[in-house]
Amino acid sequence: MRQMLGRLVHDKAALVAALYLLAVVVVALVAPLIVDASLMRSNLRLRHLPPLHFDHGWWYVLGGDALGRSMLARLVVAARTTLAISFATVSLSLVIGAAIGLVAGLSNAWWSTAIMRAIDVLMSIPSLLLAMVVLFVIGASPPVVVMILTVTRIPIFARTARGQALEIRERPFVSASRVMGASSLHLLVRHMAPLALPTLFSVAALEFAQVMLAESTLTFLGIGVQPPDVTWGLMVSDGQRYLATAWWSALWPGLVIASIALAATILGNWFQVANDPVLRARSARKSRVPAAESKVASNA
Amino acid sequence: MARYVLRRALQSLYAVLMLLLIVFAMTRLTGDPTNQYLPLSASPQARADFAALHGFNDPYYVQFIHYVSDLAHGDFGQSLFKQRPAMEVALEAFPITLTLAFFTMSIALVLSIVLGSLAAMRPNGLFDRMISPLTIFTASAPTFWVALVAIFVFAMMLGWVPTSGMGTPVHWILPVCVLVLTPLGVLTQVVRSSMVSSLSAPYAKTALAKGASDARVVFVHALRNSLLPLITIAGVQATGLVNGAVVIETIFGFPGIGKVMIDSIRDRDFSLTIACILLAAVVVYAMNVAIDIMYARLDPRVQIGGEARR
Repeated sequence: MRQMLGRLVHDKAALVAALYLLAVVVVALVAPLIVDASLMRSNLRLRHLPPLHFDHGWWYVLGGDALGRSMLARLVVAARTTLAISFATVSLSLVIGAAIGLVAGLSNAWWSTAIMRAIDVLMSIPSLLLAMVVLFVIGASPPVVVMILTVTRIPIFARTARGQALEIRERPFVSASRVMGASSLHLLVRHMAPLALPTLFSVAALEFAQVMLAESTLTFLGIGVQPPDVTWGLMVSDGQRYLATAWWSALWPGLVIASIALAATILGNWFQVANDPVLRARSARKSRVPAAESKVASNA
Repeated sequence: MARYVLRRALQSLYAVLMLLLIVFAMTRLTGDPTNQYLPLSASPQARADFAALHGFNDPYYVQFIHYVSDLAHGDFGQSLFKQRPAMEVALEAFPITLTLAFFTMSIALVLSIVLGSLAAMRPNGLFDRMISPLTIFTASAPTFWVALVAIFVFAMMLGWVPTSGMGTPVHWILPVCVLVLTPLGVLTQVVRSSMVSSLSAPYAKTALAKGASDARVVFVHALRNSLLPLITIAGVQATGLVNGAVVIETIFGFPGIGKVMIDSIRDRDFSLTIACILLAAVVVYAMNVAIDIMYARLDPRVQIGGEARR
């Protein structure tokens, strides 16, 4: 842990990304304490208040929206929903996908192959299309959005975990453990999972960015999160109508989405390099090589 | 070769059938579609007639067989909103999306090869330091937001291009430029990293030692080997282009398949939604099969028809 922190301080870009993400998470967590209810009430006198003025106090530094609510306060409140949806999705798909992948990787039985075939099919279905059908039929709410995004993200974790499991199970200490009579469950929990986790975590960081983009896109198209819940994607969608008169109402939320996706991607790439001795040695010798391979996995 | 193509086609057919099953289950298991299609004020008699007409009183498996057999006869149902066969509407819109995707992918491929190679020639040089962060940014900025910012800057403030609609070639500039950013960012990263490893391979060093110019080594010797990962990821990105097209067409008011799809969802025009989704899925699978074949032709090391080829 300490070693990781030391490496983090050495990589300036990753350090900045980590601090930024930390700050946003803290703001999202304390949002109910700092955002006064009056800021969320409509106030038509402050309608489309231009940004970058302090005349109406700190909260209106980013301007007002179409109902005269503080853009900054809305962004802070939306941070909660947006991050909660992305976090829940990534955690769920990490746990389910890793469980499927590790179990499938441990065994050579026919059902192990069958599971991976099913995962392949799931992966090949264009995710937005699937999400559209589901949201169309069931109706959109944050839990449904989390559910459908989780389903579309499980294949990536399952394949990564299986790849890891296939490699780890051939290592001598695992064989030794098996020969000494360890149960499959023991092998899975004590030997495989701990070694597979770092890779899965770096995939999770990259996935976080992708999930947030997917949620924003669905919401922007009007088939994701619905008012009165608010996410950044919804704010961009609201601001779209006032592009000609109040450019800031669409600009800020999009900028936040982009910057967080960027930070998560940088951190994910860094985590991958920092955890892999081979990549680390290469990056020390030849400077940073952006881990494009990881990007590849996350976009699949 | 033929056997391989056939097997891949069968696999894709299986995937399409799965998608169909999911779509069908979603539409049926969430309740009687009668309530979805008829207005609240419809009389019980009208509801019963509607259910009987579309066979909603039959068991699910019978409904599914009817549904699939209709599809097999090329009947995708009527678009309730447009009062026309759903597939007709979908096929009308499709060429626009294909054109959009074609221009986008061509530009992204050419530019990413050039930019990625230039960045890989001097790893960590000035150009590389400029390009690498930029590619991460374009790959992580939300398309819909970039589109809005681009409209605001280039169409509203500078007035260089129209804000939306289509007709003249000028209308295509902004949508293609915005749509190209995500694949360009991802593909440039792929080209750069595979080019870096190709350039440090012995054959590249041999070529340099024999007096070949930098450009020749990059574009003649190393490029061919760097193309393989590029093609794989380009396939994935092309699938993602379906998502991007939906967004771009909605924002720029292009009457392509993405716009039709979203409109059909808003109008609760279910058979049109399904027709669009199936059409898009079939094209995506066909493209993936084509890419796999191309991959095998480019790399003699790939055993066609072999297992575990990924």
